[in-house]
Amino acid sequence: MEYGSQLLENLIKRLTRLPGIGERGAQRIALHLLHSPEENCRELANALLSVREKVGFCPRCGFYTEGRLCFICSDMRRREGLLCVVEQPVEVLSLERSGAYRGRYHVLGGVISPLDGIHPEDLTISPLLERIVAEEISELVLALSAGVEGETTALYLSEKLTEYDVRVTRLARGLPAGSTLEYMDEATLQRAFEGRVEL
Amino acid sequence: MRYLDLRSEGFRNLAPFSLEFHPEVNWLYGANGQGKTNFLESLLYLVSGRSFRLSRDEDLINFDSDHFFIKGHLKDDGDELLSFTASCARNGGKRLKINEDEIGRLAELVSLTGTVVFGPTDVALVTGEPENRRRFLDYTLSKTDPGYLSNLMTYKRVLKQRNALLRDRVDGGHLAVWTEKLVDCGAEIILRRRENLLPINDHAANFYQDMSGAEELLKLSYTTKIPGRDKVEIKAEFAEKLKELAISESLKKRTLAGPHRDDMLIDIKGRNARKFASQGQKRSAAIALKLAQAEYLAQTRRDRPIVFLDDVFSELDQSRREKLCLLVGRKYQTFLASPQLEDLRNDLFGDFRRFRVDCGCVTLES
Repeated sequence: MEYGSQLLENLIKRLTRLPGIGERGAQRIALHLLHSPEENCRELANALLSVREKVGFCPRCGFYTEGRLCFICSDMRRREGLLCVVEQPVEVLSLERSGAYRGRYHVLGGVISPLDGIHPEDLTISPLLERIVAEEISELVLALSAGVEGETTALYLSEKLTEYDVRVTRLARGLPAGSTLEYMDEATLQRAFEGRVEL
Repeated sequence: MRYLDLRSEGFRNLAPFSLEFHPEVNWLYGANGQGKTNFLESLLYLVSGRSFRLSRDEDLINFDSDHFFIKGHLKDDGDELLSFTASCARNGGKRLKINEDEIGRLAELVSLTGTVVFGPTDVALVTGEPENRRRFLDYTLSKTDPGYLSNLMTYKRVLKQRNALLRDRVDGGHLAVWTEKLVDCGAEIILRRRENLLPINDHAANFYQDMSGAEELLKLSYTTKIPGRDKVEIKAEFAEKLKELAISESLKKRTLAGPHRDDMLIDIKGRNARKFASQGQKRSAAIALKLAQAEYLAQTRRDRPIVFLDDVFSELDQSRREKLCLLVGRKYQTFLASPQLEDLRNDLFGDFRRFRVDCGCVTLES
């Protein structure tokens, strides 16, 4: 595609490398920027740079932070003794949005997957064990994905944790909210049955 | 299930067609390379969402077209009418619909229709590697036992992960959890394969006697290194076996026991058919297995499968051909393809429809 400007073409090419943005979307964004006030573009460029320079990961839980501890770890109103283990920082965002949980988090950095060369020592498992002792954690909620690797990682963690005085739970599997039974696949229904609760 | 009609455009080498089918026997004939198997493939694609020859979707599009489109109507044994649509464009836009509703998961489509395909290479079921017989069992059970397929997929994934771990290093401290997961899924597979083999065996033994005409006894049995009466016992034996094999596994760098190494033993008159049976006996046994599969699908699903016989007659003598036709022709809707008309006597079936396949054109003859 010929844009009449090497610079414009360059920008579009770079934008298409971003997740979720195709050629057409990239063109739209680039042309939008081209027609916006210079001020706006400068602010966007600065915003991009400062995020990269100033946002890091919380040394305690692995979530995003600008300072030392993230806002969740330094929030005194959080329930003490409760820790939720997730794979990636983005999952903290989902759980926070749900408002269902008021404890703190621990980002594992992935799941065990020998096929991808990811072994327990590549994850933040040792820091997790240290935290359990240091922060006197009484319940650990495993919020890992429901696939083979997520389940195996959960199994690995629960076996590691038998020596610790901590209750280990994992999120329930079953029917999505607002769904009807008719369209559920067998595996989901099976899980939902296994996880049925007393009313 | 049975096909009422099929319309197709841009599929493989086939010219656009719109055809109605006979509820029982549909007989395609034409020289090799004219499109008989492509035609069967289009029928199978519509009800399974993929090529039975495992071709890529894009390769199914006619060279002169940028997409294919197939639509057909089927009726199940409860006489409910279903319409299926499948299309795929060269840029990758694949769409599958049931009654004009786009499906979310392939499993929705696959679970609806049972199919049994019998081709010239299927004698490998008897003569070939254990892989062939495991695939036979896995397909049959996936179609009749809803939890089987998802459990099998999980097992395969865990096996791959465990093998990767054994390949990369002896133990990263987490071999035990992969083993635990493997044992859990694997025990379920062994149990279900073993249980379901009993009725399949009964059907196969009956069909084999029909085919061979003699008082020869065919017997199927599941062979595994992992015995046990119930799931608990199988799990314990499986875990024990892997413990025994730990050193060999770290040397060979792969998982050495489990349902992925099991087999289905086929005996004729008490002898392993793979080693000792004659060519004719092996062919009859392969046919008996396929017929047993059809019968088992029909009984457990309460809906008869559609049977596809792709060029199987050249391998069979006249009496076996006729018996095969008698056994499937009246029972299931059958699509059979053969190079010559003389392959079969016209009077084998009561009423049937004959289609001529020539240079990609499929036309109704009678």
